[in-house]
Amino acid sequence: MLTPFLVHRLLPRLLLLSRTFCCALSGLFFFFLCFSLYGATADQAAFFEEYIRPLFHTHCSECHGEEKQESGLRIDHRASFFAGGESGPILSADKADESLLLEAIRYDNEDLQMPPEHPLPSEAVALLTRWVEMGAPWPDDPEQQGDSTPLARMDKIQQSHWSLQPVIRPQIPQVKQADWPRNAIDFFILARQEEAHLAPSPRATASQLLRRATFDLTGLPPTAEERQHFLTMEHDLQWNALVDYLLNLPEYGQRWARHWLDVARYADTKGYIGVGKREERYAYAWTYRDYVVRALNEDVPFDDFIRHQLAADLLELGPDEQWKLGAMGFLTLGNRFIHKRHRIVGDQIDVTMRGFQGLTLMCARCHDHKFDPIAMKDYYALYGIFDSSVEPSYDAKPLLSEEPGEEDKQYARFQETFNKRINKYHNRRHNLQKKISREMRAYVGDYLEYVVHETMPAHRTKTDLNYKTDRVLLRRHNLVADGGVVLWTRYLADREADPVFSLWHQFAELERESFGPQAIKIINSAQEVNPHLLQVLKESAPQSMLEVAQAYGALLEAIDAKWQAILEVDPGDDGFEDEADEQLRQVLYGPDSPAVVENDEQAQNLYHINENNDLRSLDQEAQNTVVQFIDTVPPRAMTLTDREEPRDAAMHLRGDWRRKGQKTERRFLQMLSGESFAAVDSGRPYREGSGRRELAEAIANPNNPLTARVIVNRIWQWHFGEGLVPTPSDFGTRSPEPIHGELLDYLASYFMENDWSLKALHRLILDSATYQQASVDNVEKRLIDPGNQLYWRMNRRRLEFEAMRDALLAVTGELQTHLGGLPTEDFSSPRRSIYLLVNRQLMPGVLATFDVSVPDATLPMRNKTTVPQQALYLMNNRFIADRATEIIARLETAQPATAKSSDALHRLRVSKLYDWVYGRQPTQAERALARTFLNAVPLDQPLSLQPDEKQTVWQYGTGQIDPESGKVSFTPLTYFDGNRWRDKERSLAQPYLDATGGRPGNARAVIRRFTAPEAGLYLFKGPVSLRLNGERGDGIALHVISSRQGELGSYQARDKEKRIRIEKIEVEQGEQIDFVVSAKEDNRFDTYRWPIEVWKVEAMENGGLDGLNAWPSEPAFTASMARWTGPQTTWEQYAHALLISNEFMFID
Amino acid sequence: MESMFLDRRRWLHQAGMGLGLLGVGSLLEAEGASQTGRRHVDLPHHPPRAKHVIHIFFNGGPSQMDSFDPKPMLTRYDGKALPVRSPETENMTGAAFGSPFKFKKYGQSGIEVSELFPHIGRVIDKMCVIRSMHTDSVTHTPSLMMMNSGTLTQTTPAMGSWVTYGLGTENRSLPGFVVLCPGGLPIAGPNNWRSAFLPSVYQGTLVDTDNTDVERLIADVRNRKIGTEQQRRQIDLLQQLNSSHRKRTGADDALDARIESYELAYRMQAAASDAFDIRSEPAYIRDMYGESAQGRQLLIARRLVERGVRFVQCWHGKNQPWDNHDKLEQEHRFRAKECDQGIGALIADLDQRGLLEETIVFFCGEFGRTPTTELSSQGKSLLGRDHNPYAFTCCVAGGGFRRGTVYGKSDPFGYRAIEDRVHVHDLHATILHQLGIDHKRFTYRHAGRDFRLTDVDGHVVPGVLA
Repeated sequence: MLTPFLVHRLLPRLLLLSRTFCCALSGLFFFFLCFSLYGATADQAAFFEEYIRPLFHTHCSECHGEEKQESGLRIDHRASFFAGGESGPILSADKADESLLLEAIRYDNEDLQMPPEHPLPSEAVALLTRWVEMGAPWPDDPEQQGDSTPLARMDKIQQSHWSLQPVIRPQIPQVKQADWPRNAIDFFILARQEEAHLAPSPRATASQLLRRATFDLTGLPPTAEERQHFLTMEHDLQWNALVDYLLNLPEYGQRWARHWLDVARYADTKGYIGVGKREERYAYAWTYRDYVVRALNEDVPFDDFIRHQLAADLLELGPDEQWKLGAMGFLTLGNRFIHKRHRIVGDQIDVTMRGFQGLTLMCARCHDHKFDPIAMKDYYALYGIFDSSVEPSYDAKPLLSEEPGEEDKQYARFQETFNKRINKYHNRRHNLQKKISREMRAYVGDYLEYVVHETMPAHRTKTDLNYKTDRVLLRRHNLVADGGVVLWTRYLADREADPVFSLWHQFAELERESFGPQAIKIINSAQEVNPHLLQVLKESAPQSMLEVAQAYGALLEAIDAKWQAILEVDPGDDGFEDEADEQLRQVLYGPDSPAVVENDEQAQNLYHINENNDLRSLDQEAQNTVVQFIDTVPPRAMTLTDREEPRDAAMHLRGDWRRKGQKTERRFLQMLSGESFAAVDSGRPYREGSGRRELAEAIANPNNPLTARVIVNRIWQWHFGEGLVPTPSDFGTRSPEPIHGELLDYLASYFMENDWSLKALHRLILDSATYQQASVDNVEKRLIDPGNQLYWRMNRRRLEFEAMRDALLAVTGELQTHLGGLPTEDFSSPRRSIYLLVNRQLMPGVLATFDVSVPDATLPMRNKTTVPQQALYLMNNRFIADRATEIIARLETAQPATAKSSDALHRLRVSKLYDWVYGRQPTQAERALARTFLNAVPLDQPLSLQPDEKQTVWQYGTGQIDPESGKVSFTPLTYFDGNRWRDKERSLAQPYLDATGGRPGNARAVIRRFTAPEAGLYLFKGPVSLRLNGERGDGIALHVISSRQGELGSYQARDKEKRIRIEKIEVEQGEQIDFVVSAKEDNRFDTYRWPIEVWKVEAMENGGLDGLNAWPSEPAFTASMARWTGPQTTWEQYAHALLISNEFMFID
Repeated sequence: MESMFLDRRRWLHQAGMGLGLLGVGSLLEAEGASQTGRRHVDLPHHPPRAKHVIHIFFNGGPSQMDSFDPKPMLTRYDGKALPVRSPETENMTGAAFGSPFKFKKYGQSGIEVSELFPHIGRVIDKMCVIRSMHTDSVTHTPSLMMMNSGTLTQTTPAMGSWVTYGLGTENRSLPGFVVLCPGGLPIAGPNNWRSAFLPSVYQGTLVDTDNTDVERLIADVRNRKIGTEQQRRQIDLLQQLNSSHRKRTGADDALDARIESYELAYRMQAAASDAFDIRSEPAYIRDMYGESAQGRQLLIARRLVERGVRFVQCWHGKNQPWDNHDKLEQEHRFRAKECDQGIGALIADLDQRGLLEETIVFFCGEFGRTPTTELSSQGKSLLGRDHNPYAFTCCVAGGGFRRGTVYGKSDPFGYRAIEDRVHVHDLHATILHQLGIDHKRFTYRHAGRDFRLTDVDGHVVPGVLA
């Protein structure tokens, strides 16, 4: 619609025009103008959208937008823009040049300069001018077209979008090829295929199916025994028995937990939590991982699985069900986002809603969802739920096992340390809050001045330009805190009819120019006002708002002094007898006074940055104790508990947590509740505690149309490589109805009818003919359906990284699959991959190479890329080479003591390797290939077998320091086991050295000896830390000793990382520098890490050092390994090739 | 025979980085890597002017008043209070702090450059000096994120990830996005070059250029236990196993891609060693860049770009070397000396090879510094400068950016960008534009939203383009 304002303003101009030109023309022109104003021509609309709207958004909408309309002006909507503000319309069509808008942005008028902070760039001014001259074309706002938003179309979407329809078990379709289907799944699949003139592939072979099912359900290759057992029996019978057998293996839970952990963005660390040395590790994330494994193995019904993860703390769990509390790690082990509360809660909303509901809510953080009927309010309704729960501190988290008794010395030590540290934190916090309260009172006048300065632009005077600087200065000394100004502002806003502050509000309304006289009038006619205040005001006769603030300040500060004097005499006194005094005292001491700082969150905004850091590090230090004693403390569940007073969230305007808008009651999504979904959720506010329990119930409700669909689709995806719905975490309106929608519904209803049993669902899927098809390609079918969307064959799948690693360890016989416990940090450990430590912040590069994403957010599915870095890893990494070594070693122990001939032995070995790696026997051609490779004379040796100077400067040995002479006795270690230099005879607690560190013996020190290849100025440096929990042992002693100059330095290391740096040492060629590490009383817990950098340097003019040459210890060690362990034998090379071949890496 | 029926496009998808062999491929690769997020757009959107980017990051935030944005007015006020209101910064600052460095006009353009950067001064005619940059946060981490990924938070992909994701790499034997940093990690570490929701192959590959040893530069680039020729024989064995497997199972894109990837990897062993081995450069070139970590790393950057690497990011060093809150004069002098020669050499060298036209080289910090001196908590001058996101300078050379030009203006003291202001989003938009990408149409769908490098903002700045 053309706004009345513009019609009014434009008509005279048009009339004028019509006088100048002919009437017909003017009509035409009018038509054109109207047209441009209604919708704007496409070009003009584009101009507006491209340049003007963004300008308004960036520069104006903060004060003239949705939530704030300074001077009554709002310019983020067409209608309100043209309507103008308190000064009337801001556009003048007859005199574009004189429009208030242009006047303001040109800074022409001293009283009207917009934006107030600084002028717009000249380009922007030019654009706006041009736009006004164009007649201010502004296309209709889409939001205003009633039914165009998803929210407005909610009913329609609820009725029509496929994923929101009730899950009803569909009819099983008719098919022609009636002898193919094995169960209902196949009817749905085949019906689609027949429509497309496709036919299914034949059944896969028995051994393929065995391998497929075993990998699929356990993530491991079938063992020889399993093959023997299941391949000899009757076909179908064996299949069912096999599936039952596999589902009952504990390895099933480990495999499928890994899938779910992707959705749950599982990690053992907190992500980036700021600069400096802070503990990044979660002590108990692994209890969540163990919960998931156990829940899957016990086939916990999926609806309960949901309840546990969202609200286990609110369920009535029996004594034998306490382990279910571990489930809440789902909400608590996300990225910490530098401890930003709004981001942690945002992450909880995201993982819950995408994970269980397939709904994306993150966009509703800032505005209503653009595509789904999800309002910003919905987001903050959920925000309130999660924000009403807090993580209990360490000692309040529920125990998952017995607490150690008093006899456990180590545990007693932990408790002592922990209590000491946590008390220190509490004391500091308490004292700080007291101090802040005092300051809030002592500087109340300053606060009020800043309130004027910050919130009353009309009352700012030229002289207060320095405020900001003053304030920064005050803040640095922690006298006036930013948060305090906010608190006082808020406090004042509620006190318009208060005997103390009613006048304040009246003064604020005054014009600056006539302030003095007007103020006197107010003062003289004041009624029901605090008499002390009145007197002070009368005496001071304030000439500006600033002086008002000063008067209030003086008065309140005086009252505080008076009160303090009374308290000194009678500390128990509870108030002034004089009513007027008491009124004033209440401002500073009353229950809602900003100066009463009692809770942490209020205090949060008042701490000086240093205090805040200080507090946080005290708290961290206490919590870190748990990580330090991680293998002593009993496991606890990472639960949440409801706040005593749950709270509704205020919306964060445009997603900015600092700008609070309207409050939103805690409740479920409107889209899935209320009238249309009464069976799911009433839509009424949640009032039982935080509401997490109610939220869990709404999600786990069988009438919720999304829950079952989302999980069965995920399960399908993890079996077939692709989901029936290709966007597993987005079932919103942008996910088109899936091709196999009916099948999805069938699976969902079957799943719910079978008590939400995942194992039942696995059985159904595995039993289908669809699943049991061969994966062989077929050119004709591929031409019809290249993406295999109709499942005319089974998808061939490559092992994901974890399955690949596990399979490699399995075929060499090394794999350890025992359940649960602390994660291992040792990547080369034979532990199953799910038990490796997941460090968000520092993922081993190989994981990214193999498509394992950083678990910062819930992961719908893994990418499937093939890049040469993967091949590099497989070809060259030591982990793989070690597996080849292991499998050959296994061969050597497995082969019979005597073989008839070397040829027979050869055959036997190749057979065994094929059996282990591929689970089959080699063909004749493959035997021939093996023979050719194994019999050929090796072509060349790697360069690394030749020692180079960088490596040979380092030697590894043990010895002692003679206490008399200070000389070092050095005996080289003689045996290298592939990782360490040590004594050949293995013994407990023996000394050794490895690439980055080692362990001293009880009596012998370990020594890394550097022999200087050239003379010069040297620098030695490197961080020392104990690898185990340093506090448990008595620490280590370190000495750096030169063969020519004696001791260069000596150090101790125990619980903290120590950085050793020895600078500017003149060293002669051939001089030996010994880096000696010795145990103290005993060498328990003395495994250490000390990579040493040796630099030859020159001094620079600024006093710094420039490196000329370096001999770092770690790469020298690594580079030499091949020399010590010898080259890969041809047998190992052969086994290595088998282990990285496609047949091993892919499942047919 | 089967390969005739291979769906070529899909094959390319899976082949990952190996696409350069077709000279075009990048896009297909990106789609192949993840077909879910990307909207089907055809890249380039328009004919590109540049193919590569070298981002030299003065992490910590160098001072614009002491480098490329001379402020004689500030010198006049030296030691006195500024007559303007100062915007809020991280710490307390006091009186005006005139630059302790002399400025001099260089080249035909006569652009003034401080004595800190004589080598850069000599190539200033090849550069566009944007003096009106501004960003959104006064603290390091958010500003680093803004410069690298276009948001203040840290959950969106780095520019290098976006660009390699969009355009791929031209070298099938090297990663497409390489991050060079000597001696350790900058603040916020790998968050600066993460691919976030983009496929993880697009994350930056970090190379610590303090290492001079090629084998430590790229993971697993060399096999220590068998010789190269013997390894070729082993790969041949592997490929025979693979091809007989493929015969049994029929055509499969994934199998083919993997077979090819072994060949690529085998070649990469040589190529990567070569790219990072600056010993093969003639002595006069090495001298030109200078014998220092910076010189070495910038020379590596040139070698990478020359070999088709799409995006190279060179950090000045670990932590935040340019963050000189105190003793700025000495510290800036020291830092500038570390990199000036190398940067001057890089630009001249790229130009003499004809590579500058197709390579965007840009350098700046995550923000600038205050014209006023930082005060200690006792109110004493620290002879340093605080963070200043309201104005800083960014120099851009090559890739169709205007040569020998100053663009934009900060106020007479260097506190705020006032004319032709260029936000970091605008810089991103403009760089993408030169690479043939419309920043608004280049999106990736994640968590229900179409994300882009420039978030919801950013305009191409025509004034900086030739």
